[in-house]
Amino acid sequence: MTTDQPHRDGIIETPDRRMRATFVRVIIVEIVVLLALWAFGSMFSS
Amino acid sequence: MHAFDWIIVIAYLIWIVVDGLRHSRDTKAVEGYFLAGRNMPWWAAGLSVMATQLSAITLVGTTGQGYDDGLRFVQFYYGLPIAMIILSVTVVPFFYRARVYTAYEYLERRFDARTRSLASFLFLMSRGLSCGVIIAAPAVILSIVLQWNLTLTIMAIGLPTVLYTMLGGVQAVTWADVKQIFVIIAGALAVAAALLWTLPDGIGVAQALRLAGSTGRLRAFDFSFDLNQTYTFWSGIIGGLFLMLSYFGCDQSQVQRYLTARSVDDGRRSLLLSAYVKIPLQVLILMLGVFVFIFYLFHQPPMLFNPVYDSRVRASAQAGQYAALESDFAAAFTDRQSAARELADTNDAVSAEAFRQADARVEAIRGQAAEVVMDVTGDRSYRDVNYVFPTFVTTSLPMGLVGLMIAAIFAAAMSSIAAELNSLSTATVMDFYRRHWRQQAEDRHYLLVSKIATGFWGIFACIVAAYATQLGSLIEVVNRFGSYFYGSLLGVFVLAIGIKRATAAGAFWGLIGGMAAVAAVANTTSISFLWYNVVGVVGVLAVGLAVSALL
Repeated sequence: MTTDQPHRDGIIETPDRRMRATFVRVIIVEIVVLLALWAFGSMFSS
Repeated sequence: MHAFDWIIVIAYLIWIVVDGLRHSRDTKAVEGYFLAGRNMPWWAAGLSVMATQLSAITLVGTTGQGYDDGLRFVQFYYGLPIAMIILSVTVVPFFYRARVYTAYEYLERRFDARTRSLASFLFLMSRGLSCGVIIAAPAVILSIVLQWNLTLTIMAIGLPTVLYTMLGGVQAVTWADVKQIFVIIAGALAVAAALLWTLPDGIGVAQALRLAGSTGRLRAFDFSFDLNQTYTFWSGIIGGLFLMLSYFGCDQSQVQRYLTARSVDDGRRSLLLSAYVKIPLQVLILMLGVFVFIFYLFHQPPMLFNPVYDSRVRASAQAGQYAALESDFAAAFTDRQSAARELADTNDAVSAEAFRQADARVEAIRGQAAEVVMDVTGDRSYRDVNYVFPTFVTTSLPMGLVGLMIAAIFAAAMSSIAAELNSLSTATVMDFYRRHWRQQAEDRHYLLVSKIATGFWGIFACIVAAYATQLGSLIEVVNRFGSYFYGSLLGVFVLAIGIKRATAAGAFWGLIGGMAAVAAVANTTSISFLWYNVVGVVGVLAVGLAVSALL
């Protein structure tokens, strides 16, 4: 694999541990935001 | 508009242009002009990603949707954080390490020149036209609400943007985006504060939210699996995911933002900033619309918010019918105001039902009035909600805030247009001019051609904008337009990155097959446009894999 023909064989590299932790954080934050939106809507809807 | 508001708008325009031109001194090579020497801080690239996505259509159209439909539209963005993670793992390292200028350049390395050229051509066509729509949408609304000349409004938005983008390149675009996103957020927060401040005596924030909630405007989840419904949880999390993958992964106007970052991880961080911030920001903008709805529960709104159409109907043969509707509307408004007060005081189920019925009567009369407008003007795609927020801003906000919010609408439009012009120029020069017409020339020559290409696309977009005046629901027009191409572009990148045995012929015919599949579905079914992205990807993969196996 060279710089001129990068990833020609379609290999997806695995991100390092720190980046993987960031991805998990993104998912957790999204779940929390969606739950907060759900709670907000439920609290004021009748 | 008051003189002080004019000063704010003009000061904003001068500030953005002068600051943009300052960056033109740093741009002496093509890599600097298009990729800022791959040396942008991740947060600047990330804010630029956000500013590019947040156009004036988002600001004006989304607040209108918040007024009309509440938080429902936010479901459109539920797939975005997941899309950002997938892109961070896949295309960001691929594009960055390939040292490409455009996403489509990668397709030539993986497949062949014709696949690259076709993908880039599709991008140029779709983005060139949508850039015109992005200028036209706020220009039409501002010109109607503020009674400005439409052509001058298009030029006021388009020309300063073309000037700093053409001379300053991506550095000017990115640093202007950073300032513009802060102007937009400051404007939105200031208007939110003003809306809370203007709540009538006896109505607190909790009561106001209960009023909005009782009409269903605070529901941000619709779990019905109906392919014909545009905004549901499933269309957002699946259709929206595919749209975001395509927009952020295959659209040069976004790819170019994170290619300016210093490293692969910085590119990832710039995308993940949107993953954290986009949904809350969108909720803030929708809540502005919800609070405008609450404002107009206690302050009589015009029956229709487009003053030009309003005047035309009054001067037409149907003026009498319109006047009768207006009288009914005034009575219905008074009933709804009383019902709102009653609900705020008692908060019981009977009052809530009475308020909902009163609100439905008001909306029914507005619907009849809109029908009269459509009959008189012939504009069958007319949607009054696009005029709600600008009308509120210009008629109900205090001096100073009007100027700030108009500047924010300009900022939202300019940030998207600048990124698109910059990326249109990059694709034109790198995927066509340098690839097919002049492969060996001095860097200075390509820099000059790049500036000319930016100017050309700017003029093209302004001309398209001048003709694109009948737009229907603005935000949907742009998203629908993109959906015709986006799914197919995403499909060809999935073939490139994910499927080793995909061949060049498979990619090329797969791309054409994907677009044919979207066209067939769009013309024969009533499936919501968000699902076109899924259809496009599946179409490309099916045709691409079949052709790869056979040829």
